[in-house]
Formats: sequence, C-alpha cells, structure tokens
Amino acid sequence: MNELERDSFNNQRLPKGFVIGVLVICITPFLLNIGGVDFGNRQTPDLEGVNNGLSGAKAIDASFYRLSGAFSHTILEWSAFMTAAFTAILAFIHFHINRDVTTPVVCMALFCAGCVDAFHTLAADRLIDAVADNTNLIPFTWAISRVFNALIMITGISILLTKKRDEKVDVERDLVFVGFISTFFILLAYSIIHICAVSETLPITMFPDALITRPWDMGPLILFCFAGFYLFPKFNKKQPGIFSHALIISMFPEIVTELHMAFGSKVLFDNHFNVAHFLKIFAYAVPFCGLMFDYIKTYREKAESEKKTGAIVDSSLNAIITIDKSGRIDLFNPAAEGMFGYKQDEVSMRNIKMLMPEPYKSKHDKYLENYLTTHTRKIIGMGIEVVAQRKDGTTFPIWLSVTEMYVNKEHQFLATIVDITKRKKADEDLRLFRNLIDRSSDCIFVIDPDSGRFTDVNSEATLSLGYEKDELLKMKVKDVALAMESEKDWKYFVEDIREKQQSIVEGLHQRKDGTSFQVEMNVKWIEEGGKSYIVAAARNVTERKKAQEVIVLAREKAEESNRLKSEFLNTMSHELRTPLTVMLGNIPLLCDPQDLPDAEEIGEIANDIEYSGKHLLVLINDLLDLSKIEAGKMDLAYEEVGISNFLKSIVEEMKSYTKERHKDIAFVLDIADFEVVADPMRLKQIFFNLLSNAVKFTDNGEITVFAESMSDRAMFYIKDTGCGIKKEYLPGIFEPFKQVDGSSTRKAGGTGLGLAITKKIVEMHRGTISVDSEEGMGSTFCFYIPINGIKEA
Amino acid sequence: MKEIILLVEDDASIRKLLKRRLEKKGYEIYEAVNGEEGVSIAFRVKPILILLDMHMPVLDGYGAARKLRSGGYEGKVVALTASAMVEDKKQALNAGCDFFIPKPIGRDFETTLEGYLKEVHHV
Repeated sequence: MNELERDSFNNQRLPKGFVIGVLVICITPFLLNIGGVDFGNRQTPDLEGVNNGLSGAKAIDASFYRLSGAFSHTILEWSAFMTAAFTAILAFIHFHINRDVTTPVVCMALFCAGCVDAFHTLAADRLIDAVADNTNLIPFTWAISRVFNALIMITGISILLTKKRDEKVDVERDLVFVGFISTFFILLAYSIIHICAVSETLPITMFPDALITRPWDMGPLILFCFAGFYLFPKFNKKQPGIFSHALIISMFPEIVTELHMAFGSKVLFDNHFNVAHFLKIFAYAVPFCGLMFDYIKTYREKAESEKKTGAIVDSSLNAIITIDKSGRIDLFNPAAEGMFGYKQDEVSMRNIKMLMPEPYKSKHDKYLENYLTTHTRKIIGMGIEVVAQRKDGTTFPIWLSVTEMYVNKEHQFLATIVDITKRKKADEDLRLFRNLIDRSSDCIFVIDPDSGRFTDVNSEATLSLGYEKDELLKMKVKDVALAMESEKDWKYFVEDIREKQQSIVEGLHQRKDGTSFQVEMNVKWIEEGGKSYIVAAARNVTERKKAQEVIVLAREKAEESNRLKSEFLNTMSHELRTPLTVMLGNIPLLCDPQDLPDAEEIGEIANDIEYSGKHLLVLINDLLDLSKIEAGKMDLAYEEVGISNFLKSIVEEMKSYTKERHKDIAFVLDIADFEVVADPMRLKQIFFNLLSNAVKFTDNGEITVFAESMSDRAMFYIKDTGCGIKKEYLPGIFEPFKQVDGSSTRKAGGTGLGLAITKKIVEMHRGTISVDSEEGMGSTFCFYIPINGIKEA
Repeated sequence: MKEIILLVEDDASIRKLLKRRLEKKGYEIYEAVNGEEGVSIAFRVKPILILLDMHMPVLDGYGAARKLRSGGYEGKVVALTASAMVEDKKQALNAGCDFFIPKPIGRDFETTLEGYLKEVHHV
C-alpha cells in the first residue's frame, strides 16, 4: 500500500489511539480482577436485620445498602441507554449533512436496543409494572435485550449490505427507507417488551453452579463474534468509513461483556455482572465516537476543500467573477481586482455592467433576462471576445467565458476573463505585416520542398498568374513554372537551393489563360520551427528583358552600321585607287623618251589613261551625290514634267549610247501621256541610271520603257532582256558597292553607286523602287512616285 | 629562259598595265582573274614571283596566299592592294605574303620587285 492509499485508509478508520484505548478499557477490569480487585456489590444478607430492630435513618441506610446493587445497575444501564439515545440523535444530524443512509439505520437499531435495555432497567427497578418477580425478570430481560441487540444490529447491517449502491443520492427515498426500517425495529422492540411485561413466568437464565453461568448469553456472544469478525468487516469493505469501522470496534466491548456474563456472573450485581454492564456502555459509546470522528473528518475535509478552492481562485491569473441572476457581483478574485482596478468591496453586490462600456452596458440586463427566460445559450458555455472597462474608464479587449452553476440552491453565473490586449496587438501586427507582404509588388510564394506545393501566396501572385488564391494553394510549382515539368527537375532544384541557401533564378511562368511571361526570382531556403520552406519572390521581367533586347538590338545595329560604314569606306578607297593605279601605272611607260612603246601601244595607253580618268570623275561625282543626299543637302526643284516628251528624249540619247557600245538593242516605249510633279534633273538621273544599266547588261535584245499614271501615283519600269541578276545579289542591289563584283561592274563602266543614288532620289520623291530579275532572262526595275509631288501636310 | 611572274588581279586594265611594264623588263607574264585561278596556274607554271591583288571574287588574295603556302609554293608573293592600313598589311603577311605594295604603284615598281627577288629568305 503506497503513501496515498495509506493516508486515505487511515482516514476511514478510527484513530489508532482510540482503538487501543477501547481495547485497554475492555481488558483492564479482567486484569484488575486477577489483581484482586472486586467490583461486585455487597450481598444483602440481613434481610431480617431490616425487619428486626433497625429503625429510622439506620433502617433507611440499611435499605440503601441492600439496594446498592440495584442502584449501580440502574446507573450503568441508564448511561448505556442515554449513550444510545445521543448516538441516534447525532446520527440523524449526521444524515442531514452526509446523506449516508447507513448511519441512521444502524443508530436506529442501536436506539431500539437501547430502549429494550431501558425497559430492562425500569422493570428491574419496578418503575414499570411487570408480573414476574425480579430474580428471574432481571436476568431474563438482560438476556433478551442482549439477544435483541445482537440480532437487530446484524439485521440492520445485513439490510444495508443487500441494498444496491445507488449513484444518485435520493433524499426522499432514503428518508422513507430509514423511516420504514426504524418503524420495523421499534415495533419489534415494543413487542418484545410487551411480552416480557405481561408474562407471569419467565425462563430461568442464571445457573450459578455451571461453568456457563448464563447460557442465554452464549447466543449473543456467538452473534457478536459473527458480527465482529465477519459481517461488520464485510460491510466495512463495501462501505469503508469511520463509522463502519467503529461498528467493528464496538463489537469488542460487546464480546467481552458477554464473556464476563456468560462465564463470570453467578449472582446479581456481582463483580462480573457490574463489569459487563460497565463495558456495555462502551459498546454504545464507540459508534457514538465513530460519528464524532466522522464529523470531525468531514468538517476538516470541507475546510481543506474550501481552502484549496479559495487558493485556486485567489492565485488564478485569469479574472474570476461570479454574479447572481440579477447580475450582482459576488466573487471578485485578486486577478479581477488587478485587471479592472477595483477592490473587492468596491464591486461587491454592484451590477456587473459597471465593468462594461457601451453598448454592452445597456444591453446586459436584457441578455441576462433573455437567458433566464428562454434558456437559449448565446454565450453561456462558450467564449467570446468583448470589450471591458476599467475603473479609470479605459477600455480593453477581453476573452470572456461564462458558465452557470448552482451553489447552495442559488443560481449563479461564473465568468472567467482573460485580458487579450497583448494578444490582439500581436494579431494586429501580424495582420498588418501580412497585408504589407500581401500587397507587395513582388509575387511571393511559400513552397513545401517535399511536394512542391504552394503553401502560401500573396495577392500579387494571384493577380500576376490569374488564379484565385485557393486555386493556387492546391497547385504545385510545376503547374506554373514551365521549366519544372518532371519530379526530377524539382528534386534537383530543391537540392540546389538547399545547398546554396539562396539563389537568383530565371524562368518562365504560365498564367491560367495559357500565356506566359518571363520572371526573375529570388529563391531562399528557410528553416523555421523545425520545418523547411522554400520562399520565392518573383518579378515579371518581361518588360526589362524586352528593354534589354532593344538595347542589344540597337547595339548590334550600331555595330552593323559601323561595319557597313567601314566596308563602304574600304570599298570606296579601293574603287578610287583602282583607276588611279591605271593612270599612274601607265604614265611611267611614256616617261623615257629613249624607250617609248610603239605608236599603237602609245595610243592604247593614252586611251586607258583617259578612260580611267573619266571613270574616276564619274565615281567622284557619284560619291558626292550620295554624300549630298545623305547629308540632306540635295534639294529637289519640283516642276511639272510632261512624261511623254521627257522619256522620248531620254530614250533617244540612250540609243546613241547603245550604238557607241556596238550593241543591238531595240527600245520599246509604252508610255502614257501625263504630267508628274518631280525634279526633272533628278528624274532624268534615275532614268539614265536604269537605262544605262539595262544597256550594260544586255548584249542584244529589247529594253522596254513603261510609264502610267494611277490615281495618286505614277508607275514606271525599265525592263531588259539581258543577263539578269543572280538571286543572291538581289537583296543588296540598291546598296552602294554591294553588287555583282567590282571588276565586272567596272568592266561594264559602272561605279557601283548608281542604283544606290537612284533609290535615294526615288525615296526623296516619297516613292518606292523594286527589282525583279531572273538569271539569263533579264531584269525589271520598277518605281512609283506620287503624281503631285509631296503634298502639303 | 625568261623568269615567270604571275599576275593575280581581277581588274583588266590594271592587269594590262602591269603586263606592259613587266614584259618590258623581260619577264614572262601569266595572268589570273581570281585567287582560285591564280593558285592553280601558280602550281602549273611555277613563277618566281606572284603579284597578288587582295580583293577579288571567288577567292580573295588572303585565301590564295594561304593556299599557295600550304601547297608548298616557295616563290615570292607580293600583295598588291588598294588598302594602305596597317591591319591589312599584317593580315597579308600573316596569310603568307612576303611583301606588300600599296596601289597606285609608282615609277620604282620594277626596281622594288627586283629587290624582292634578290632577297634570299622570306620576311
């Protein structure tokens, strides 16, 4: 049995000291007997002495001496009866508190036994009329009362043993039960008393010469042994308690009483007779003391419990307040005092609404009334958040829990209050912080590393991806990031981030509508509260990338442009030096008068020099034209040009040019007669360029000149049946120097700049030019210019 | 036996003039109009000197020089070019040319060439 069990066990028994005391008292008379002490009353030998000669006071004295045994008997018996009576009274008081039906039942039994004992005493003292004489009456009624005592106790306890242990304490039913039993016992007792009173002859119960001097006391002895060693312990086990333990202990004096009577008492009022009667008192006293001790224990427990509850309420950090059904404050613990700033006596019996600000204050009475009538639970049994008001008038948020209880038949309400100011502030801060994150212009994602699922996203993320927040929280990274399709991709990514802890990543994200955009993300590995998270802040960099692309393109263009310029310069240098080489190279051949070539060769050399010189001139002119146009320094002098005559004269000039080159080319004119607003000199330049090209690259065949006016523009083309232009050269045909190859151009007499200049002049006229050609078939150069020149805006 | 000089030049009038001047000095002249042609003629006639224009169609001077050298041509290769820039000179020499003469050529052209021919080793 451990400490705890031992403690409670001890609580359920009579104190050890008391038990030992009872045992000592029971044994002491016997020990004293052995020691020679005699408790018996003097016998009454001289009955005759009373009748013979003693008179007056001496005679009364003698009577008293003679009746001393009866007197002592009466005192002892009456004490026992009184003890029984007090026990019964105490039992009912105990029942009133404890509601344990055992006590009144047993004590009623005791009382009834006590009543029989009382009758025995009264009859013995001839205070009650009885028919039989005392010599038999006294021992007989003693025997009966003893038997009755034992039986009634055993009966009472047996009834209680069979009674089922009920969970609910039903006061009414218990009282009825007690009343029933009591009535039964009383009737039984009374019947016995009555029989004894009216019987003439009663059995003899005293046998002074036998070993068992009072055989009728054997019965009770056995019964008391049975009760003390079996029945009462069994009852005690079923219903442990001080009282039931006391019942067991009370059997000891009963047993010793019976021993003294059964084996000891030979005559009335002798030693053993008196000892037995004395010990009988204790037999009643022990249950009485049991009740007292139980009372003490109960009281102590109650005091402890109250102290404990008080300590709990007082030390609680939460405010605890109780109110009655009108709302008046009863309990107001120290925590409440601290929270509200009032002292207990300031609030006691005042209405709870003094602790509430508006609007709660004026509504509270109604709430209370509502609940009491309808019993609809609005806040009873749950908790809500409300605002309370301190003594100084400041308000603060609280968490309020209210329950109802019944205390001493009173309907009360219990409120537990927690000041949540700090908690609310923390919540507010958190909410604010969350809001800021939420509205951040970056998209923020929180991702579970194992599954790749989004565990949180901010508003910007939902906006930029076009999904609702709850949709996104069911999705994984791979549903959004186009490069993260497979599990393996994700695993690599997670490992990479975990290792680096932080990384800047570029990727492509796909919106709900299927469109995608480029992002740059700052990705971080975070461990918090034992868990790992990946947090990504993503920014749409489509704009930035576009801007970068533009820059790159611009740079490339600039580089290309530079390259082209260098190329142009290189080619220009080359083209200029080539005729110069011919000129300066040939001249030394003519310098030495001693060593001149023959006349024919001199003629050839002179021609070569002249030709190259002329070529150089044309080249320089073309370059200057081009430069002028590029520099914006070429001005157009617009005039009305009659196309028909204009083109006819140009073609005539070309015919002689063609003859010079010994080519057999036919010119076809397909010209409408109309007028166009243009610069005639420059227009002529265009036609000369195109026509001379046609002539150069056509050995024999046909050149067609076409001119037509359309609604707002004029269309012209020059078509030849010459050698045509290779497809690969067509794209760059209008670029300076970028043509077939330098030497063949030069061979044909061209500078390589003609078409470039032509195109620029056409464009200066706000027109367009294009070429169509097939190798071996011929070429067609076509251009448009506005009929009316540049319109005023 | 006349010494052979190969002219690799796309412009006809320049070819004509070079031929005039060098034939006067007693060389036998072969002509090629582009680098490709020049290389094949060079390996056929084995000239002692090749005059190589740098800007030609099909295969330019740089490519021709490389091909000549990798093919084992051991004669002198003179780059003849309209460009006078330092980079072009370097490029020509890297490609395998021994000498570099800018256009237009002057009166001392033949003397210069003879000087080159006398040089024993490649520059």
